[in-house]
Amino acid sequence: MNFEAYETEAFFDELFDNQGHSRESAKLLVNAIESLAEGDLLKRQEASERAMHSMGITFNVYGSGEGTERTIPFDIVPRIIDGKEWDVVEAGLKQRIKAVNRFIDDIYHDRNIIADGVIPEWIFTSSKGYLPQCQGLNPPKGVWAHVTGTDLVRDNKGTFYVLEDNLRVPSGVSYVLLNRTLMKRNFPEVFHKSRVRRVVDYPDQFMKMLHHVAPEGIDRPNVAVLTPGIYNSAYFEHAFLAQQMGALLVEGHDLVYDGKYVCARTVEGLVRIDIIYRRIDDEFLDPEVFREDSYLGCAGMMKAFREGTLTLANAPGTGVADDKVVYAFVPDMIKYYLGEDPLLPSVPTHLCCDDESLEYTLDNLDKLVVKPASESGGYGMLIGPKASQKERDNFARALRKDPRNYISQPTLSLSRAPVVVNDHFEGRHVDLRPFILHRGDDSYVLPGGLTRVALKKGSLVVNSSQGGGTKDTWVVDQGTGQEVA
Amino acid sequence: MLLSRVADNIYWMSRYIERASNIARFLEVSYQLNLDQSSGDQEQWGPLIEITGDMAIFKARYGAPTRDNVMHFLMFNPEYPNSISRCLSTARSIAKGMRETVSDDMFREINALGKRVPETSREKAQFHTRVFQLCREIKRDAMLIEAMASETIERGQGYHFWRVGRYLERADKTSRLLHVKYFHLLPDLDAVGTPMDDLQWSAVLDSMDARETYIRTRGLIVPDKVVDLMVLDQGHPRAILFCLNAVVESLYRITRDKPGEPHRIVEQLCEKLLAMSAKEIIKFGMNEFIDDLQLSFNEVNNAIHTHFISPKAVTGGV
Repeated sequence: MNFEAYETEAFFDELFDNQGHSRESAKLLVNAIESLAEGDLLKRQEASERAMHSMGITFNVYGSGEGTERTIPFDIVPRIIDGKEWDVVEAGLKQRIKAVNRFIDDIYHDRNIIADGVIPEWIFTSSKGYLPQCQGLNPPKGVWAHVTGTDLVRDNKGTFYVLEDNLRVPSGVSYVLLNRTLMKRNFPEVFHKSRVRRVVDYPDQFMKMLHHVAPEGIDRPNVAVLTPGIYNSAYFEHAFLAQQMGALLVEGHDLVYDGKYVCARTVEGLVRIDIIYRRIDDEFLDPEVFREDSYLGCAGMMKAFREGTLTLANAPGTGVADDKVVYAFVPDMIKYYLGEDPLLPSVPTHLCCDDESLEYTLDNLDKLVVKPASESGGYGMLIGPKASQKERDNFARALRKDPRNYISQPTLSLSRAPVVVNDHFEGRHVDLRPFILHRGDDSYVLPGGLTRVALKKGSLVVNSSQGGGTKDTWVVDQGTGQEVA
Repeated sequence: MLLSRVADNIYWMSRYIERASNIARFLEVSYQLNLDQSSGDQEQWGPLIEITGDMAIFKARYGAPTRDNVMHFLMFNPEYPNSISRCLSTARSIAKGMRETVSDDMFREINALGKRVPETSREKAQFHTRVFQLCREIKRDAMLIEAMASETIERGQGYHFWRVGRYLERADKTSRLLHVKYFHLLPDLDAVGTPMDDLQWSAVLDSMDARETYIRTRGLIVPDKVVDLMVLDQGHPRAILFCLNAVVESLYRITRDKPGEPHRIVEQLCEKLLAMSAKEIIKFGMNEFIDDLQLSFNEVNNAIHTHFISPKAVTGGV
């Protein structure tokens, strides 16, 4: 299989330049693929998919009943990012997460950023992710968003843009680690020569970060991953992370608040838990404080969090910054808190609450992407150029009715990467979700991250819940590698 | 640190795998035994259902215990909770619910095993050959999983719950096997000591992988010596006393040598068996003896639940 007939068309391609030559950082890989025997690549692709089934890397499809197990489609051709380019992205992400954490802390304390007129007050009071119950709380080391999965896209010039910050319970990192395992098995030679930055130590980095934010005076904290349970679509990831980090995997009913501590029910009685990496939403954490009908969390958890006997990661309330309206102000936050210019651009965003922007959005529905402010997973959004007139009319009505709930952005011409389609390669749109671990004084950024690919021809939606697949992402350092080769 | 919920899952996953492999053993041996019967003799498949204790369920669904009916019921029936198919798929879904606890190798094996029986049921191969082949595979894979548990899991509380589940299940199945031999395989007392009787005892030993052990250690087949091996032997891994000793040992490991109610019940049982001979057991009445045993096994199961698993027992603080 070779790339002779591969067309980048008018898009920015991750592996090839617009002349059809493989990019410097992708040369080794492209050569390796082209030198494989006919049919070999497909065989490796199929072997990888079988491996995923045998490892049980499946997710349950929402609404399709028990027993519907699918694997997320995996494409064997990795996406490659040049190390020098990545360094800029990494610095930009660190900067962004630092500012966002300062913002959340500010919002739940003195709100200087509002007093100073940088951000209007209604922005957070109307945000669904703002929790008045968190006012005045002080999570250890001032960290609110410990784990962030920021979505990046590249436009047709190859510029990286931040599309959104997933500050609540971002998922997908297990696929980064597993895709890497599969790729090392499939392309050991080229992998070695390519000097790919490693991702394998993510669970250790994660555990170190959690230890850093443990409650005061705890030497060896007991760490638990809180999962909604086996029927959650990301259950595999919860179990995988717990296993890799050596943490306890707990469900709400495994926990009990004893008046001071949150404890796990073990065969030896109640054992205190110091840190919970929770994979359930804020509103389900504690039925005494949030939703009364929640059985996914544990009554008393917020008391323990408030009194500092328990660290919650991410802290409740981080959702205030995970709102597409607030997103529009992140560049201002970076300037305000850090006195720096943003290293990573955001996509120009129109807030529909603003009359002028609303009119502009309504007038240009066929050109824009319109998103609900507080949805995730690619649900409920309109991709103007791809939508029917009827869909646009429906959206226009919704926009007029609740303008605060919508933002609009220009439709970016997302970059593409080659994927295997039967016996040849075709370009598909991709995005990138790097994972950032923030510990207060410093952050760790997983080199690369999850490349999601819209497998449907022409589609721009990469979410796994909507038929997207994944690729391994290689951040490669050039120069020395090829000399070794 | 082992969560009560996870301990419960490990215990049952282990029991279900052991249960499936025991049923596979019984099926395989019955098949062989029936092949060896002279053509005039009636094939005996009903006793196999007796072992499971679920004759009523079987009759309601299938009627007569013919070979095909019994094979289908025990191997493939997707609704009967103790069919091999269901036991293994239950074990698989439990394993899926505790990926963080089961080692990767073990998970892969349990995952594959849980899918194999339903997948085979869709094949068009010849029914008997298929069932026979499956029995052998299940037996072998259960042993493989056991080896993986033994080679990949640290000897912590989780491992010992796995071990308690397996040996308790096995003790129960051995007692049922004995029961069936006594009361169903050869109901006619005049036939005791005939070649058919010997053949059946030999088959019973076969399904425990114990025939060679028996011949080496006890010589010709005599019923009370078979009982001795099946119940009182402390060296054969499928003998009841051996299994109970293993359960006690693991219980103490779980509680770091602290005694508890489950420990007490099993220890009492061991002492009782140690004080008996096979001849006495037979004299005492096999029926009552086995009924008592099975009541005790249930008691142990309940005590384990109350002591380690149910929330009431674990609210006592650290």
